[in-house]
This record gives sequence, C-alpha cells and structure tokens, in this order.
Amino acid sequence: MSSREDILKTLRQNQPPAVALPDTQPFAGMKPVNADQFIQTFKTIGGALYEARDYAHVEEILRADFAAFPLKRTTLPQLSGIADTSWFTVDPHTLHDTEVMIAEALFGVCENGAVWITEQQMVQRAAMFIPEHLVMLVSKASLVATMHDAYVRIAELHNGPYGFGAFIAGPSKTADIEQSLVLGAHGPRTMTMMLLP
Amino acid sequence: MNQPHKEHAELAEKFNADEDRVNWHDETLWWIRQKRDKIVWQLPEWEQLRETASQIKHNVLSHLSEYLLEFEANAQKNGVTVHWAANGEEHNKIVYKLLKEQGVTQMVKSKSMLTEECHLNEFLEKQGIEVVDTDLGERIVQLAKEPPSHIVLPCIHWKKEEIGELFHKFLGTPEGNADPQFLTHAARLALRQDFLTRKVALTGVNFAVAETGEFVVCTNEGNADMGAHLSNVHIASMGIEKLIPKRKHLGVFLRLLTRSATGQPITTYSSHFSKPRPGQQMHIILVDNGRSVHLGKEEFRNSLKCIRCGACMNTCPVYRRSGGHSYHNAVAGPIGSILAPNFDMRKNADLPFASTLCGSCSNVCPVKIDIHDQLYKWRQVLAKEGHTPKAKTAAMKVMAVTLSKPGIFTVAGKMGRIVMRNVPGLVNNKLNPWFKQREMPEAPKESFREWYQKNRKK
Amino acid sequence: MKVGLFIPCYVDQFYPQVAIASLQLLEKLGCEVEFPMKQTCCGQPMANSGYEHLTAGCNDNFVDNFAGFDYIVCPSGSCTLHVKDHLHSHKNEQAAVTIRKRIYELSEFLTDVLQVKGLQARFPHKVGFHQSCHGQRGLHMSQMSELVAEPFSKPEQLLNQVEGIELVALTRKDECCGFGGTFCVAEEAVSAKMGKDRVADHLKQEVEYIAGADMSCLMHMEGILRRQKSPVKVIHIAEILNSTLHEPTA
Ligand code: SF4
Repeated sequence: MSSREDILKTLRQNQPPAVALPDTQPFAGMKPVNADQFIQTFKTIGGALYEARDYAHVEEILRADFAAFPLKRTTLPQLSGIADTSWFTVDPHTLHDTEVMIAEALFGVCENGAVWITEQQMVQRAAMFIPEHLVMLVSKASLVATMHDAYVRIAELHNGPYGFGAFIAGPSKTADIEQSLVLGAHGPRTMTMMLLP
Repeated sequence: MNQPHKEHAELAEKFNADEDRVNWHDETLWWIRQKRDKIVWQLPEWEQLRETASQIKHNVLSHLSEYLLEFEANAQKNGVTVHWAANGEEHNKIVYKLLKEQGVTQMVKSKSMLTEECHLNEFLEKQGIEVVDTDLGERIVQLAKEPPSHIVLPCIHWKKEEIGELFHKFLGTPEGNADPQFLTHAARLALRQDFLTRKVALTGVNFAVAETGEFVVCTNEGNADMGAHLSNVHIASMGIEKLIPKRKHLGVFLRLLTRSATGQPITTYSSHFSKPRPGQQMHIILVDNGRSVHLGKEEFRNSLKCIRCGACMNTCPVYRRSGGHSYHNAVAGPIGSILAPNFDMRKNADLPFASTLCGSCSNVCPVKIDIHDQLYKWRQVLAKEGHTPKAKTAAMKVMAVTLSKPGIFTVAGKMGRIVMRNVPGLVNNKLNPWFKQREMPEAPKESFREWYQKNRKK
Repeated sequence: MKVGLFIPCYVDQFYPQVAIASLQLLEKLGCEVEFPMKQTCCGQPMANSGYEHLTAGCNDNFVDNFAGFDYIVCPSGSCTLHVKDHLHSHKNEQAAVTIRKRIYELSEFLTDVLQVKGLQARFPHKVGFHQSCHGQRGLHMSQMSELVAEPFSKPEQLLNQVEGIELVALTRKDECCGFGGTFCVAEEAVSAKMGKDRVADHLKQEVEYIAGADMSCLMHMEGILRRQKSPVKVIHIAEILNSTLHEPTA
C-alpha cells in the first residue's frame, strides 16, 4: 500500500466524530473602517506613508524623495515617466539591482497596516521582495477594517485561484539578534505607502 | 542523534550555572509575552477568536482525511505536485529525489520546524547536499551546528557578542562588531548570493486551505519569498495537521498567529501560494510522521491543533529558565513536552515532568490546547507504562498505603516532625535537593491535629 | 451550616497556625466547623507525579471523612482543585460527586458562599500577595493575566476589607513560584530559580510579608527567604483575615 493510502486509512480509523464548523460570519463587519488606524499602524510596523492626490502627485513625491535612487522600476504604466517598465518578462534574478519598485495594491487592512496584492499586479512575484525599497500605492477607498473583511474582499475580487498573492505589511524585518528590531532582512529595507483617495 | 541524551533536569541545571544569563533569557522572553499581552488587549473579541480557532481546528481533526483529499485535488488542479510521506525518512527521500532530478547539490530553506523534526539537514548533508537555512536566526544556529532553541525565535539563547564572533569566523565580519544592524546586514548580503544562485528552495507551510489548494507561508524577513520566487523548484513541506477548511478561516488564524507569537499585528509577509509561476515546479509534501496515530489518542489529539506560534514557550516560567535545548526535542517548551512522548515515550518521559502545571501555557494558546492538562495526563500514562524511576514508584506505593490508613498517617507525620525537629542534620543535608537553595520549614511544637484534640474535642 | 475543615497534610504538620486561623475565622463568621480527625491527604502528591491510579484508598478515606457536610473548606487552592477535578470513589461515587461540588478554597468560600463584607480585621503592614497558580488558573480565584477579560480577585476583595493593610503591585502579577510538588526536588535548579525570582519581585516592592492562599507556595518562598536571611515573612491569608489588633501568631 502506498503511504498515501496508509495515511488516509489510519486517519479514517482515528478521526474523532464529526465536529461542526463554527460560524465566522459575525467577525466580518464587526468594526468600522478607520483610515487613521491604517496610517498609524503602518507607521508602527516600520513603514513610511504619504497621502497622495493622484499618480502625478505620486510621481512628484518620488522625484523629490527618491532622487538618490536612480534605478526605479514600476508595474504601473502611469509612472513610466519616472520608472522603468521594460522588465516585465526578464529573468527575475536580474531584478536584483532594483533600487525602488513601485506597485499598486488592491486594498489595505486597517487593523494591521497590510496591503493585499496578487501576481497580476506584481507582474513578477520576485519584484515585491527583491528591491532595496518598495513603494506601494493603495487607495483609501479600498480599505477594509480587519482580516475577516479582507477575505470577504478577496472572495469578491477573485473568482478562482490567483496564482500567488500576499499581504505585505511594511519593510522586511528581523529581531533574531537579541530581539533588537532591524529593518531590512532579506526583502526591501523600506516600504513607503502612497495613500491615494 | 541516537546518542543517549541527558534529561531535562540535568540540562536545565547546566543552563542555570550562569544565573545572569538565565535572567537575561527570562527577561527577553517575558518581554515578548508582554508585547503579546499589549496587542491582544487591543482586541475585545480576542477570547472569542481563540474559541473560534479552536473549534475550526476540532472540525479539521474530525475531517482530516476528507480535507486532505480535497486539498490534494485542488492543489493538483492548480498545477502543484502533491507527495505523501509516511515519516521523516520518506519525506527526506522525496526532497533528495527532487534535488537529484534537478542535478543540484545546493538548496535554500526557510523556516520549517517540520524539517527539524525530520532531521532533513543531517540527511541531505550525508548525501552531499548543502542546505542553507535562510531565516537569520536559523542561519545563526546552523553556523553554530546547533538545533534551534525556540520554534519562532531560533537563536533566542544567543547573545549578540557571540553572534558577532560567529559571523567573524564564518562571514568575515570585523572582529568585535556586535551591532545587530550591522550583523543583520552582513547576513543579508551573504544570503542574497545564495538566493540568487540556488535552483531549489524549500519552505515550510503555516496553513494550507482545503477549499482552494493554496498554502500560506508567513515570514517577517521575506526569506521564504526570496527563495521560492527565484527558484526553479519550490518544495513546501507540511505536517498534515496544517490544513484548514476554507480560505476565509485564514482571517481567524492570521489575526491570532503573530499577535500570539511576537506581539505584531501580522507578519510582514503572508504569502499565499496557489500555482507555480510559469516555468516553475511546485511540490507539496504532506508529512504524517506519527500524526495519524496521534489523532487516535483521545486525550492527546488536541495537541495537533497547534499553529506553532511559540506563545506557550514565551510564557512558560520553566522554559524561560531552562532554555530550549534542555527539552532535547525539535519543539521545546510546553507544546514540545506533550508532542515529544508521542514520538518516543521512553526517550521523552522526562518532559511532561518539566513543568509545575501552572497553566499559563493553556491560557495564551491561540487555539486553546489544554496543554497543562495534557502534561498531567502524560504523567499518568508514563507512570503506568513504567517510564518513571523505580524508586519513585516504590515511594509512591508506600505513600498510597499510608494515606489511605489514617492511623499510620498520624504516626508517620509525627515521626517526620520529630526527625525534622531533633535531627536536622539528617534532613538538612546536601542529599536533599530542597536544601540546596532553600531552608526546610521549622517544625512547630504541635500539629494542628494535636491542637484541635486539646482545644475543640474536650 | 456544617462545614468540614480540610487541612492539607503539610499544613497540619508544619503550619498549624494556618489551620487554627482558618478554623477560628470560619467560627467567627458563624459556621459550625468540624475537623474530621481521620482525614489524611487529597492525593495530589501522588497524582501529579503520575500515580493517580494509586490514589483510590486515599480517595475513599477522603470521602469517608467528608461525606455529609454542607460544605468542605480548605485553606489551599491547590488541594481544593485536586479534589474538585479528581476525587472519585468506587465505594461511593455519589458522595464523591457531591464533595467535588461542595468543596471550596477558604477565600472563595468567604466571598462566594458567606459573601463576607466588612471583615473585622486589622493588619497594618506592607504585603505582597502571591497568586498561586492552581487557585488562580484552576479555581479562577482571580482573573488571569493571559486572558482578555475583566480583572477581579477574590483574595484581594477580602484583603481590601482589612484595616491598615498596604497591598503592593508586583511586576509579574501571576508568575508561578516554582514549587510544583515533586518538581521542587526533581527540577531543583529551575524550581529554586523560579522561587528566588518570585521572592525578588516582592522584595523589590519592600514588602514586610508575602501573603498567599496556598501554603505550599509560601513554604517554598519561605525556604528561600530564610536561606537569604531575609526578615521578610510569609503569611497565609487566613492569618491576616483572622488577625485582630494583635500581631499574627508566629
Ligand atoms: S501549543 Fe498553542 S501556544 Fe504553544 S505553539 Fe502551539 S499554538 Fe502556540
């Protein structure tokens, strides 16, 4: 007998009597959307945040505050004036030299400052993890209150599998050395949120 | 791995030889417990969330075979290859076979307690494969040739100066530099090269969703993603108990996991893998390694609900003062002590006794595992199956007789006091572990029983 | 109201003043108290060591002694919890079930059953209160710091009625003292370290007394205090609640 059959057989013998699933519905919509909470939380988890009016304003901010990093790439054609968009089909390893990556998330979560983004918006999966700095656009109107609401939104947004999706909450970090927090572990060393209306 | 090992008490005593270090270890972990307290108090619905998570896990355990099949079918539909491993050895062989198919001798790995449990690294090393652990803490203990001492904080027992020395030796950092920022950066640069050059990446799995066939990996460092997205082959190893029924249940578990683990609202990355990227292979290895048998033990099956947050370790006053390695098991602390005897009752018979049964672990557990009750129940099993010291069993038998016969009791108790009062040298000596750091209570002139006889029974 | 007083074996032998205070306090509050002379032990030392299967005789003896009382009261959370959770009797399971329902730790008996308000007691000292784990997490005598739930404390509710007492706040309000039954000798190093740390927390607050509702924890901490030649004393809550203008009996 294969291991698969073996395991399944033992499980069937040993499973306790069926227990019903609890209702998780009450958790969704339990709390109001609170943009200030999103802003504050994102800052506490090590992020920087700008409130931007539109793409032009984002571009303005990037020109001013990210001038030190010439190698910018973006997933957004709207920002091709300031960042490279010719990398969509390259070998992801070559993205290693990216200084700033600019992308747009589908929505943000107030309770933890995370944003949800899938492969489609990432263009390449590695693109969100390999740059030195990550800039993420998200609209205020998209915010949800909690992770329960987040999965309700995900169900609305995607009918079918998304290949890859991630909640990203701030710059990569570690506290493995004596619990002192260091930003910039293996992924981006900073994350900047551009909060659009 | 097969050498005879020392027991928890002895290893803990060694750990306690350096009291300052124990204080430091205790304070560090207590600080994490406090961060956890602070953040959970921001959610008035916290206890309701724990209860819900617990119930979802009960449902999972009662339908595990069905969910596994559902997950397998959905993952396959997504283009993922699903493997089944009855034990650690089979798991390791599957990984090795995949590496051989690629013709590679190197692999990057992100945190996976399961691979620790399976002793994957040792196995692959013997086959000439070099595994690089990419979680910073795991990399540190790997360079030091040690197992992790904590499931979430693998090198919590290491001081920064020691890590500075280790990095000086292995990564060529300047001698004497112990700045966490600097050392982390050095590790980032070194591991970046590994990410860019390895063709196979192995990750753990935090949750796998039966409904969709996707799995979720949570890290703060981004190491799982760096490995997976730059690899040609992504292998994800998971214990079969990691399943959850529906995607929406992630809402419950992701809220609980990191708040319990480190006091953060969420990990930096919660990555949902459902299909391989074009041109990539994705493999999931479903590992049993005793879990299906464990499921049949009514009193102990609840420990399979564990989501490996580590909160029970951070709160455990014994763990904080004995260190992870004193548990001589891949998973240390309270949860390790109830999981380990399932694998090897004789070898791990000491662990359920490495606790005062204070119950703090059960209270912080986000999935409400009755950890301290299970410790108590394991003690009963171990004593009955003869895994406790013979002298203790003999003493307990004497005690049992004495306590059921009141006449003997009064005499024995009195005798005890007479000895204590008159010949302190007999009891207060070095052979009595109590006396090493504590005085014995002073025996009073008369017992309560005697007082009562005189004052109330006239 | 007929109350059976259950005195843990080591309290009977080493801390008779605690038993006396418990008895006098209950009598003062109008209970008709009896101490059944043939009681021995709750069996916990055996059970926590893994030998619950040897406790049948001890349990039967417990049932013989305590069947028939309206309430069974015990000045130890740990022993009370053990009886509540594990008392069975082949000879008379019905009586065992009744006892499990009717047994109370002393302070919870005072707050929940007698609903004591306005105790006549005076204890003008600085006191740190040690929450014993079994009483707290097992019997829920006070809220546990791990839970997101309304705080309360039955022992403190009583101590707050005592004139002149100053209760200090501890840094870690409900950490275990490390006694743990046979743990205190089997795991000597960790046990003693836990005890030392717990004592240090109280000493940092400059207490005169470490009080508690479980003599086993207090015995542990007393052993450490005396080894350190500290003037700080341990005292059972019954002694404080029973104290009048006089100093507690040593
Ligand atoms: S037993 Fe509970 S607290 Fe401990 S690691 Fe598992 S989930 Fe976390």
